[in-house]
Amino acid sequence: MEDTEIVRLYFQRSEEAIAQTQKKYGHYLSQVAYNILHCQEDTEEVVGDTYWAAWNAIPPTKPNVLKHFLSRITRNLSYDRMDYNTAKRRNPHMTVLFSELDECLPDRRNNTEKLWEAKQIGVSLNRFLGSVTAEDCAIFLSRYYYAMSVPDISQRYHLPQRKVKYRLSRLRQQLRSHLQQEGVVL
Amino acid sequence: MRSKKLFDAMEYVDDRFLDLVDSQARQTNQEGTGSIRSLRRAIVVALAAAICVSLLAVTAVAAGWVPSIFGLLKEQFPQETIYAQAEQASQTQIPEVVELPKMDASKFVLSQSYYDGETILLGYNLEEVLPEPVVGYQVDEALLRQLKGTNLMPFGGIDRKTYEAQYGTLPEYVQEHSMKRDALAMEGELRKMLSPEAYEKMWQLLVQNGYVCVVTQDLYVGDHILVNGVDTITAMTGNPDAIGIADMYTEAGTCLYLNPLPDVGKNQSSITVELKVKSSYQYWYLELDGHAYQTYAPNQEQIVSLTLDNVQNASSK
Repeated sequence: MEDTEIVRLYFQRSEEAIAQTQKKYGHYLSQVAYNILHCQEDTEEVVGDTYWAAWNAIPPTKPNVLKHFLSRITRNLSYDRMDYNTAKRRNPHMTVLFSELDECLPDRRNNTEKLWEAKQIGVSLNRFLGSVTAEDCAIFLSRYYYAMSVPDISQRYHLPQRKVKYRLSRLRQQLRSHLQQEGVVL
Repeated sequence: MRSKKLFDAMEYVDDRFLDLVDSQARQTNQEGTGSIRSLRRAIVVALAAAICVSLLAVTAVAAGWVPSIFGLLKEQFPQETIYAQAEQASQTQIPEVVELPKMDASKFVLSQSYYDGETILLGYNLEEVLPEPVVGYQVDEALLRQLKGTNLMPFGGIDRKTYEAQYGTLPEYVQEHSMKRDALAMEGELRKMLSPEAYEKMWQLLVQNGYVCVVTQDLYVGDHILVNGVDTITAMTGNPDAIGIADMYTEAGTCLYLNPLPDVGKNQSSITVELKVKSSYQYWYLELDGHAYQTYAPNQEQIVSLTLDNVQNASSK
């Protein structure tokens, strides 16, 4: 079923919307959640919550691209679940991801986290992504949006792991100087 | 955690950039399979001609008619002087051809090399001669579990419009069976990769059995590279900022870049570099009801051992 038809079902408050969303994007959303949580049980719960969050959000929201709209919900719910989980035990997979991104932040001493909202940083991030090649953009987002592992990215783009690591390393350096130039302080 | 803030900001990444994650993966698959096919055909059909062309190409590089691997990188990264130094030092080098008997008649061709005590650069090409794809491979339970558990297909597949843009007119088979998303993406890849006869056979089996498995082979240089017997990845352990090992791709071939080196490889008069050339099976499992799964399994590996002299020796003489 086309996305526009699925969205129309949401607007008609037809529960078939959830069934069709599950049919078309269930596997994809499970992968997004699993990449972050690395736990099948949590993944299933998060994906289930995603359908209900979409049900509550549409209408009034009318997503431009349903797939990306759903993936954002899944990411957010996955991180919420991870926060809950890490209160009890650490998730080494995500700790590594966060530590990689830490190096992109210009000023480590300045504790001014609340000065910039995520949306403003997002605008700067979009400018950065628009300045790199399409493949670099895809590799960066595979790692830091979809939380894919280096071996998975390597397979996906037919690149050796060392090449992926090298590209990610360079992209982090570029993002760091981009954020510095734009005066982004976290 | 401050990096969590950056993670949160990813929520505002434009849809057009998220679209690239899938479209780039598809493009990579398309380019990869296309180049393997054309290379295989060129070698199988006209091996003798290829050798002549290679000899001419070597002569052309030596004479400076066409840019070498290091020469292309020098132009691409003028700020990184290492490529200019390597280009200068490797001008009189003769290409070294290493046969790979475990991988049919494939060859590893080292066109240029450079070692200055701190950095190693190897300019190489893998000349692949691999068996034709197997259409209708018998899948057992274990392989099916692996395929479904480690599916490497890009998320979400493609729509018909994208299919036509990337692979040409929608085949009657696809229209007749209302093929969608993942299955459509894999069908397009297989259509591109297989000969017309093999493609026809693939569809016959797909319609007859409801599924088909195609097996192809791939050749690449492994990540664990030994310098004087020590794994260079080990030298990078605990240092996530180290660039360490990288492949730089050019039209003339690939450049393997190694820096920093393990201590046993630093400032030696000569060193030994051991590369592991590997071949792997790629499994493409397509179901008529719309599912598609892809995975791989290692096959053969062969060590290529190279000895490099420190260019500082020559300059000090």
